[in-house]
Amino acid sequence: MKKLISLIRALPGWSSGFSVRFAWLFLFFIGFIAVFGPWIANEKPYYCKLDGQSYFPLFTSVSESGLSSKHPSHSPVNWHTTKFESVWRTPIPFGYRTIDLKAGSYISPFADQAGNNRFRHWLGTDALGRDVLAGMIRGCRVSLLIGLGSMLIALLIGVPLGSAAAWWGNKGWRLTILQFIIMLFTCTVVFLVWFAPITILTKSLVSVFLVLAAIYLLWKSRSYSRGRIAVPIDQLVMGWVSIIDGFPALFLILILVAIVPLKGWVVVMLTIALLRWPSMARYMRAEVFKMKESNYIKAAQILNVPSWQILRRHIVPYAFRPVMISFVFGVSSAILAESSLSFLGIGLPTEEINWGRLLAQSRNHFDAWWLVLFPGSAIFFTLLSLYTIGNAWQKLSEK
Amino acid sequence: MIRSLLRRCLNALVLLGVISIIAFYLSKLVPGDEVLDYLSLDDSKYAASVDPFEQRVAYARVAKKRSLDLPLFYLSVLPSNYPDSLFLILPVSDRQTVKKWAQASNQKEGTIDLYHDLQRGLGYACPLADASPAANQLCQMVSELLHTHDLFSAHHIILRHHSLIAKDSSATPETLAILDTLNKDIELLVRSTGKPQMAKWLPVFYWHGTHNQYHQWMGGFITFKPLTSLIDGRNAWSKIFDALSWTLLLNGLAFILAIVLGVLIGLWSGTHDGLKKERVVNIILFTLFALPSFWLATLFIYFLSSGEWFSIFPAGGLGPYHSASNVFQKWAVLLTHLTLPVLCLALGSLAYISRQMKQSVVNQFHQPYVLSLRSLGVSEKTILRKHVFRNALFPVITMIGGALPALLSGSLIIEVIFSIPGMGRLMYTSLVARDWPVVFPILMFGAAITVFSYILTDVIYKWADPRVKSLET
Repeated sequence: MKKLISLIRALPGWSSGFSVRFAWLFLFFIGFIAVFGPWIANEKPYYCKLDGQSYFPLFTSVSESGLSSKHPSHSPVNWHTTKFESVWRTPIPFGYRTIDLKAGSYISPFADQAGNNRFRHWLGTDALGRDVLAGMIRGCRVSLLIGLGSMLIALLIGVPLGSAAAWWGNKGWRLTILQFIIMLFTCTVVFLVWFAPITILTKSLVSVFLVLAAIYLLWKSRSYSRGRIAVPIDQLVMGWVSIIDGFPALFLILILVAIVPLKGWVVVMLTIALLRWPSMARYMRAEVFKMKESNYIKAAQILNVPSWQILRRHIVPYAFRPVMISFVFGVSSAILAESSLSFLGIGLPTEEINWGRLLAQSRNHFDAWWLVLFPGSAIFFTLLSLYTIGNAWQKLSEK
Repeated sequence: MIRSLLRRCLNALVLLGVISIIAFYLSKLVPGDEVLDYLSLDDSKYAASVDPFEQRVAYARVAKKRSLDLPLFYLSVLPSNYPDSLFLILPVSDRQTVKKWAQASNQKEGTIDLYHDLQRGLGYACPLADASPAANQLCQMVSELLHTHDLFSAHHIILRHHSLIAKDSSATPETLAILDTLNKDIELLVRSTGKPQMAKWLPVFYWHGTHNQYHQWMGGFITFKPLTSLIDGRNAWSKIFDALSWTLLLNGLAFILAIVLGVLIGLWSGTHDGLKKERVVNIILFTLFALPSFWLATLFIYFLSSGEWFSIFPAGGLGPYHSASNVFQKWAVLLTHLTLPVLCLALGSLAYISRQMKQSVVNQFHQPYVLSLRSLGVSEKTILRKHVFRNALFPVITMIGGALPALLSGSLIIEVIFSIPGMGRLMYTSLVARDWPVVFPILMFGAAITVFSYILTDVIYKWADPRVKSLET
């Protein structure tokens, strides 16, 4: 417990004010709901008893039809209407996909809802009669997964590329003629393999093997004497960065998501990651440029510490904080992009529900204020918390 | 200055070239067959004709008209067992079949011969199909063959039909001759299947010159060659330019509002730094910054224009400005309709600009020159107006260029919500309707604006602050 408290105190910005603490708590709350969502809002009860037999439907694969065939006298079994001998329901007895036909669509939270209070829709229902609160609980999961996932991918691509671009620049990474020949040869062979009449799986396996072998050879043949042929890493990386930055971001996301035949949050996540890694790379590049000039790095270079070790031990760990700040802002912009996409109805499959989707439904039904207020404020407060934390962290690092 | 500017522009052009290649390949990846999309526009008879030969003729005609029968790019790389005229084979389903045959048999000439003979069979038999049962059978057989990827089953189909047609009394000598040729062609292919040939694995490069789809596509963009929208057959460019004027109006107003208000608020908060009322303003600005514009827009519509609470502003569209009797009335109508969208667009950037401006004013007041001015007895007002204001403006000026692409993206969702017929809304509706000939020019247009606004940023920065000597990095 003491450890936990000290961990919480170590959170960036925790000590810099009430608002930052509140933001952290709000994010933890959202994260908790995202993880445990299916056990908070679900039409299946935790536990139910029928004809003397106990079931744990939420934790096992017991279904309504399965119960109906086992207990014909109660058939058809419905989680909501069947009279169980004893039942222990989730706090919100609706899943995000459960369509409550009895309540109907666009039920206001304050409306006189039929049935007992246990099945009340505390935040109303949407256009299809699904519970808004259950939908919002689902939305936490989608938003956080896409926000964190896409930025993690962007981080994993952007940080190595950005630091390599800054560290080696256009002239720093030199290949000996032998190494250059190895590289050229591998590229040619991989190119040829892709035209061979073999299955794509074989092609990919062979290519991966060849590339790994080439990397191994390059690594083995690395020497401290410098080669002749410079690889313009900076130009290569920054070229890609400026190409991706040259596209209008939202337009490109929309087109990519519309073109890809698959639907789902993974596609949205990868698309956002593709568009966000350049900003991480640029950020990292600027950081490493600054650090390269510092004395301790110069000292390490004079001591002939290999570049790889300098980068790994002395640069990347120290660039962690500024990069994490831009990571926090990146997560917020990824969540914003995801909810904009859902709001426009592009990307996620139609049965999926999240904050943007719920908000979009209010446009067809203007008096459904609960569809404007609750999902919108969920997006807003998540973004506000992320901005608050990022801002506080930035102020701390400027001091 | 001029030289570095020229170099920047040249870089930007190269960048746009690469972007256009990526956009072109994206446009080729869209689901569905492009020629089929155009067929219903260009050839109204197509849907009525069931004759596969006529369908093919119509298809080829449309493909030629839209220059979709050309190779994709200046250069193409094909495995050497693919026929080099593979790109001329249309429709795409035929091309897939021929590709599979060539892959299986390693015989590019033989595959092309078979394909031409099949087409001859279609041309001969299908027009006669109503008259003679044998011709009908041949026509059906050829259509079936063109969808059979496996060579062995194709051979089997020919053998089966051969025996049937030979018995038929209505079979003409030509029908039989075509059958024989087909049989001979396919036997040649079947015989050479399964024999791997190392030399056939090597890729072959083909150079097509300027006679390719990318060249036509890109050239069309540069010269604004008419493009047909798939929904209504209108010229896509006229649609885009109609939309552009509204986007410019909307974004221009939002931009001016954001900059003027943002700079003023920033100046005020910078000079009142640390006061209680300043802190309140700061918190409000921070909240505005985090407010998603589409939520703000739905809130505005709900509270101010849906009639649930108030209906002060119209909910969407541009209003009946066409029927206005004079210019003032027209603008009055337009402005009442544009108030909410402009506010939604401007508030986010306003918050950002004023926060930046405040920071830079505070920084300027810490500079030593302010202290020396104060010691000379210059009034605070003069210091602020003549010295601090100017210097504090630099960071804001540099944001102007960077804000343009962001505004363009941001206005998409606002235009959709308030149904303003601008570029963003056009992009969205075209994308949902899969009207690709409108979508990709807008993408390229946006890319051009983005790339050149980066140059604009550099130029403005240099113009505003002559201390920035070089434009390079």
